[in-house]
Amino acid sequence: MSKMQYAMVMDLNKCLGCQTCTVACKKLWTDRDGMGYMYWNNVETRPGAGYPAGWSEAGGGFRDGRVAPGEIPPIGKYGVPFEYDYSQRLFEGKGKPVMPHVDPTNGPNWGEDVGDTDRGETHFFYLPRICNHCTHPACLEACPRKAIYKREEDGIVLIDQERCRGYRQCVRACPYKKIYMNEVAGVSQKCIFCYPRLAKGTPNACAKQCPGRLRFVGMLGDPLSPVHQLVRVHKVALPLLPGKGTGPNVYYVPPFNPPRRGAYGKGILHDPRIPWKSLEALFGPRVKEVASRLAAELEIAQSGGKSDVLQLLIGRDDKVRYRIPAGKGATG
Amino acid sequence: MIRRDFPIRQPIVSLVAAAVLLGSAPAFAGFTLAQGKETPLLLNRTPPMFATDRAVPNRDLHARAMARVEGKVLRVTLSWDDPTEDAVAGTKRAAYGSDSIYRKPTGRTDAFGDAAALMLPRKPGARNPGIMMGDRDREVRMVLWRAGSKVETLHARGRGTVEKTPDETGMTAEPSRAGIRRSVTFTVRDFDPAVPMAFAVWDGGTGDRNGYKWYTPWYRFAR
Repeated sequence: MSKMQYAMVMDLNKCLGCQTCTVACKKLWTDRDGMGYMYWNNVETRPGAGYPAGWSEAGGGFRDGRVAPGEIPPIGKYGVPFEYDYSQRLFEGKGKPVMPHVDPTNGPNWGEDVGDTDRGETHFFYLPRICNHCTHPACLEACPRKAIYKREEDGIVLIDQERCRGYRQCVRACPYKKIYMNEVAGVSQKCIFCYPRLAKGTPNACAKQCPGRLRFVGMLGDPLSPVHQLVRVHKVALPLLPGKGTGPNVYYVPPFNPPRRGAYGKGILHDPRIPWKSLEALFGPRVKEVASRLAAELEIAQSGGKSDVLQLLIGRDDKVRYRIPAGKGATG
Repeated sequence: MIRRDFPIRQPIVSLVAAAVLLGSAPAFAGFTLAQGKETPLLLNRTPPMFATDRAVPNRDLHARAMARVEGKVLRVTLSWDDPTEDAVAGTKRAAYGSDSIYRKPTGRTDAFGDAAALMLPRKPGARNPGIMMGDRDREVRMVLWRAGSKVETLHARGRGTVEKTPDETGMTAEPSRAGIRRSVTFTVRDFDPAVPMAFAVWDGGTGDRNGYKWYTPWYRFAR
């Protein structure tokens, strides 16, 4: 376990699914050969298949204290990233329409924005996902090459590209399926939590570019960091699939659960539109407790009081949302 | 029906293991490759790494080896049954039509390549190195052929310690195929007949890679 740990909190109530974070990450980190299908950051809808499709049912994590690698998702679960032969059209004068080089049958956000129906009412919310830089990374535990390491100074989990031999035990072991095999380079690759940016005091690209200002970044142990405040003080942020036993360090403020139609005057905890079991499946049994806390804060604000939690969640500027330690003197 | 070249393969290994435990490990376990004679190999299967691993593939590769030593040069041809051609993509850049400016997209995420390796102790010694990549006191060197990739030379002192040895130029491997029979000829230019050799085969089609493999005990060369 690292002494210091970077963490990110994402407020799901503010995510509008614009994919700006996805594009920021893609352009910065995964724009090279063999990385076409890699989305170190993706935004999916829940309920939904996710990316890769069915990742939350593909196994991984720990079982009875031992790492339990699951499946390696086949390319069909991601969808073959298609390219276009522009040269036919642009340079060779063949006049043929520019078509994908394969017939697309799947891809990121394929068939999404559909959600689910509960007693005649539809619901869904957006779920942005990156590597969770877990406290107990199953990928690290499973790697037979010891190519994966967790940095002592900030808890970021990285793959040594020189040691990795592309065996993909990490892909199997990650319960979030956030490690990707680069077939061209012959190694596995993943989100690096933008550590080169953080070293310069600049927030992660996905966080910095987010128009919804829903991401908070800082050291989990730093009492002044927004992530510490949201996770440990106000206790309104929860990790994804906590039952997998990896101790994720990306946390989510669960969606305010609006009441069903016709439930006028009821609080957000009564007759919710998103079934509790759906939220509990993602964020664990504490999700109701967090929702109660958020509902209480909402009531304070709506009755003219000041809610510190909601004020923080507004995330007015960079100083509020990010606390990036500078150099070695960082607290964590 | 599975044909077995060695009907008592497990007891042989157990006897050797027992001898090691009793401190009376023979330097020569009785497996030999005679000059120019094609010899059926005893293949063992590594156990599963994780409780969630699939069952071990139940098939016999009918692996054989034929070794020739001329001067200090060893040429040993390892052959085995492999009906499927499984290769990793390698590092070639893809081009669509006449166009090479586009990124090569990943076509497969769960495929593994066929591979084979020859392992030798770095130095002759009274005891053979551990069969799983040598041990702390006895380094091994290897030449690894992987379908679709460059031949690599490696060295190790036990499991999980494998490193590349790019400056080791005396070991090479050359593949060939005849129907379902796949062969790899390993050449070692500074071979010492006093050291034994061992082989490993990975069948990419069944998910073999790393520790999921077929492997032989140490074989000694005999003229």
